[in-house]
Amino acid sequence: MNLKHNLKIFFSFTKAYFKMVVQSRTGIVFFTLGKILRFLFFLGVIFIVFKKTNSLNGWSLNQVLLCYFVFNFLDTVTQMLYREVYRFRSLLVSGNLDLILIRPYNPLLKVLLGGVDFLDLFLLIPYFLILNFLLFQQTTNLLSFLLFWIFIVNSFLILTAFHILILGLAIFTIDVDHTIFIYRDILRLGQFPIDIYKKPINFIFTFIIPIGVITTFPIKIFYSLLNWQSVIISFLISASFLSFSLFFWKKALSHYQSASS
Amino acid sequence: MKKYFLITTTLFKEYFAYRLNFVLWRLRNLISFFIPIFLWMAVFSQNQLLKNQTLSYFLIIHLVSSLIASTTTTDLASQIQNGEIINLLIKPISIFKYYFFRDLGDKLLNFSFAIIEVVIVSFLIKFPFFSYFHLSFEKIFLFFYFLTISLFLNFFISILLSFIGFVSPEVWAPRFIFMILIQVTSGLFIPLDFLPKPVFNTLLFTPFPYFFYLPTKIISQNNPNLNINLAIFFSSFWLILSYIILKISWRQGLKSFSFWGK
Repeated sequence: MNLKHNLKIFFSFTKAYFKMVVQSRTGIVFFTLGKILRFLFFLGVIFIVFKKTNSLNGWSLNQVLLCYFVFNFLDTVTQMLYREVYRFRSLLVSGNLDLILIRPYNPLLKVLLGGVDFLDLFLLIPYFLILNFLLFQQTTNLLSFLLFWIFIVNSFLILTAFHILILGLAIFTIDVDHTIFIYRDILRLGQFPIDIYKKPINFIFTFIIPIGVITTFPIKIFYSLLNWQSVIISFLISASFLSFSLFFWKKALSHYQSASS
Repeated sequence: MKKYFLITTTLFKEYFAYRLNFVLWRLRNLISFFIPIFLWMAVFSQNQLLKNQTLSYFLIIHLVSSLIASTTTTDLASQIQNGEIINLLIKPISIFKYYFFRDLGDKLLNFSFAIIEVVIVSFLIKFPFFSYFHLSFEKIFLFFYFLTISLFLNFFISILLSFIGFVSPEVWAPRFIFMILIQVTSGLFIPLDFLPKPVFNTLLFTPFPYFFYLPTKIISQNNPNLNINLAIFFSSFWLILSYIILKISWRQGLKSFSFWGK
């Protein structure tokens, strides 16, 4: 009943947001073109890199391509679902968050999932298809394929935790714009396998800020390159990040003092 | 001129009032700076000469881009749309000079931080940054020539993009495309001469390599292998063209501009 109720609210937010987005058609075209251009450019960079070397710190062209598609897929999924996070600051400074808090639903439903951006579907569908094509080209082992997607779900949970943390932090600092873009810039480190970065940077971005767990571990498990300790650590990281982010969000809400403060 | 320098000092005060914002902005730049550095270090890990050349290129382009790309002219678009531009128009100052001197402050602050970042990164990756360059008078002259061109080219084009606010409410979408084009074609992520030859040659006809790539390439390499005359011609061409379009757009924009209630 609760799930049904939440889904109904979620779809009504989504419908309202969709109507708003289609008002600016020129914007749709420009933003989509820009994203396609950026995607193609970095894809081209990978091919240029492999014209100059046969392997990138032990990573082959196919593995690096897979990493690039994993990054783009996850980045696009989260941008599509959590677009409302980018607008959270205006809710805070205007005091309109009060109007959400008094409603009979979980406020995260609105501030996290209240603006699903369907424009990203134009890119998400091709990324998903190409990603699966690349996977099937390299193996017919269904277990590897299944493990890969389990790790992608794990990565998605960590990314969700990041977004909730940003929302919580915003209540204390009133700043979303910089933190969300710092998160995006840090995530961009994961468009290439995290092992190409030198020590201790690769350690920091694997176990402290788990970008490596998000974008590189799914590929490592697919190629059976991940030991069991790392498997356990990656699930522990996602569980602890998600629990902490929810705890932090509740703590932040209890400190919220409305716009008048 | 004194009043314009006051605009620069006001911008400093503005930034020092919001110190955290500025520091977070530089942090973002620093993270973006890391990616190509480590990528190309991994690519050329077996070739010390190419590795050093590429590292020097990326360290310099970080400095050059922080100087050229930093601009406050993006604010102009919203000022046109919400009518705040009227407050500037009624003052006895040139709107172009106003933004030029605001940009000056922005550039000085960003450049100072970029120097510190380059020193830190050079130290971390153990790159002998200051002992690497062999400068000549010709190189220094050409560097400053292209740097000046790129400073004004970026200034003119950025204002032009804000002028879209005179005719359309959709000011962010064209700027987004411009930012992506700069990201992919100005050499920020890959030295443009690494691109296939036909692509590189075609790019030289566009304004994009003249933003960061040309000044960086000239100062960072002993033999840049460039057709300098062609580069001088096309960079000057784009500068003059953007200036002419800017002036026409400004005149047309002012004619069509109207706002009430201010």
